[in-house]
Amino acid sequence: MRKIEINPITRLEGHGKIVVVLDDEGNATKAYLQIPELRGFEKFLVGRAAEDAPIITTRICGVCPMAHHMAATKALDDLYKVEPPPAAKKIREMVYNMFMLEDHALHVYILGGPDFIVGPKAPRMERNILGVLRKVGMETGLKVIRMRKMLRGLVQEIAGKIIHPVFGLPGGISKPLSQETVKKVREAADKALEFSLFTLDVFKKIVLSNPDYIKLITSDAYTHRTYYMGLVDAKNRLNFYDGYIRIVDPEGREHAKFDVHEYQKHIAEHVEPWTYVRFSYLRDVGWKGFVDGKDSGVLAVAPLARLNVSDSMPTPRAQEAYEDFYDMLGVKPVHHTLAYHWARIIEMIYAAERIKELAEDPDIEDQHVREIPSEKPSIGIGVVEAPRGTLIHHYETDGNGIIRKANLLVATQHNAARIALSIDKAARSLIKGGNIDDGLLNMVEMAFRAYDPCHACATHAAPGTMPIALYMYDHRGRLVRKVWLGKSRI
Amino acid sequence: MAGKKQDLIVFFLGNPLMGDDSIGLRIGGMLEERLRRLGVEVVVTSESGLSLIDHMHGRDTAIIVDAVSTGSKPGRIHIYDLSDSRAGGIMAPHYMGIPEVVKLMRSLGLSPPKKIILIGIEIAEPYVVSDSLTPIMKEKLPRLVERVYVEIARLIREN
Repeated sequence: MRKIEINPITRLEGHGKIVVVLDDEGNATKAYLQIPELRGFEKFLVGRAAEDAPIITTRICGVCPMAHHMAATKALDDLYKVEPPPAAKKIREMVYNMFMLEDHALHVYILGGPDFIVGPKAPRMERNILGVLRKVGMETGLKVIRMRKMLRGLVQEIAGKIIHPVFGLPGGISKPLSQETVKKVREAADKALEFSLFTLDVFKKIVLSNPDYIKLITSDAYTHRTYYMGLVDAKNRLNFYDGYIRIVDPEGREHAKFDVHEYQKHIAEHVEPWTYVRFSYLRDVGWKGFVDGKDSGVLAVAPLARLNVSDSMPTPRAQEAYEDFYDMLGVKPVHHTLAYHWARIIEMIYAAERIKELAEDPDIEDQHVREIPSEKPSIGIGVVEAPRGTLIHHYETDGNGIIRKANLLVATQHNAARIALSIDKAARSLIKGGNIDDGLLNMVEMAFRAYDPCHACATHAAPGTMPIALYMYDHRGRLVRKVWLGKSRI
Repeated sequence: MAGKKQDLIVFFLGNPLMGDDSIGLRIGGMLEERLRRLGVEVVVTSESGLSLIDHMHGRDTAIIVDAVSTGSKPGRIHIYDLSDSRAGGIMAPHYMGIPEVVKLMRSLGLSPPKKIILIGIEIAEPYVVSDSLTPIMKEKLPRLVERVYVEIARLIREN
């Protein structure tokens, strides 16, 4: 039901659409996702001072301000060739993990959770956060709200306004931590770990103990053998804040490992006439169309990809969960799109443990949190793992630090080709003989929701949410059905 | 609740970089002081959905000023009453708008505002990344500020 006027958050008229084309027998022959034009962000940066980028880019959308803030801040370190002091790096990483945890929790319970916890074929009106709460108990709902509030409160205490952090500066951060804040972070980390383990437990009880769900997760409709990309530390372990970009092939062998400065050597962008999203692919493998396999340059990022490119987890409880994940699914890399949800929970555990580790590091209370830049700026490139995958900010400036060129390579565009594959394959596998009930349509939707896609910045624009509709056409191009799917982080 | 202005909260929402979509924030910036003098709490923010729970908890009335795009004349003000529980009928599966937030708060026992009014301002151009308004909205801004103030003052009196 579309009522733009009663939902002020859906301020905009435009919407994304999934298009499904049916043949004579009512079988889906093709499906794709279209996002309306929303562009201009990179142009908007040109002519502005590079120092403003960490503030301006957070306003791209309200979904992941901290990811843009951090990628931009790291690009500024690089631009001015200045190495932040250890305390600054650790505080940045700690705050960043708080943001990751909170964002993942939101997806697990509110955006993606309804599909599994309530059930993929449950009636649309029940497939929402309230349905989740009926299943897992109201107390869990309060836990989610409290956890979010606690983490957001701490991020605000350390980094300033949650939605527009004023925190990262070239060469460091704006202020050191007080003993009191560090104490609060340690306590919060314990609670966050408990909450993340509880979330894994909920997932195990409701999803993993149900053979139908396992069948669904591992079914061919939701499986693509692609390359994977993500940041790893020096020991090839997961890291959200820093490290090398590692790519593994569909058999799990290392295909490339490089510093972010070399990203253009490895990642190219493909343009299609029917969408404004630019599709990332591996330059050396080449663009072979929307197909998977070793000969196709299609790659994937975000939680599942990050686990697939890591040799292990750097923290103990996350490592246990990681081993369970690969034991149960039996093979690495895991190619099942719906396993993204499970991987996301494992990353929540890692984030909580990492926050604790950093909060207990003796460096964290050091008052020296900034090196003053002295080099003349020219090019700065920064990378982080955003909740939705590898995020790269690349600025080129004049000698006064005024941006002449900006390139933002965002997570959803790395995943975009695989998302297109997923929608098409799910529709073709599930929509047969004209059977297009609500449950089946949701299962097509699930094929892209698992990625937690956010096309706001993939189309390089705001505001981060958009209503989405499904259009079904017969072979003569006549519209046979249109269904509103609610709003997605599109 | 009559007369207790501290039970009332006014939100001004929008994205500062999406041109006309920033209209709520701009009006908020200009009315903030005047409204605080009336004794009401004012929040000018780009946050949305779930994040508004913290601010709404325990209030009797929430007034939201935000951009809308319904196809009518730019600068037109629409008033919507979001208090009514039909909110349950539009629960979107995977995203939370104000009605969903209210319903969620209610089920968690977090007492949402009894009355929620949206003052929606029709904008001209929702799709341009820009830190300024379109000329037509810029021209209308001073009058809109006054009209929104009058609306809010009226709602406060009725509260």
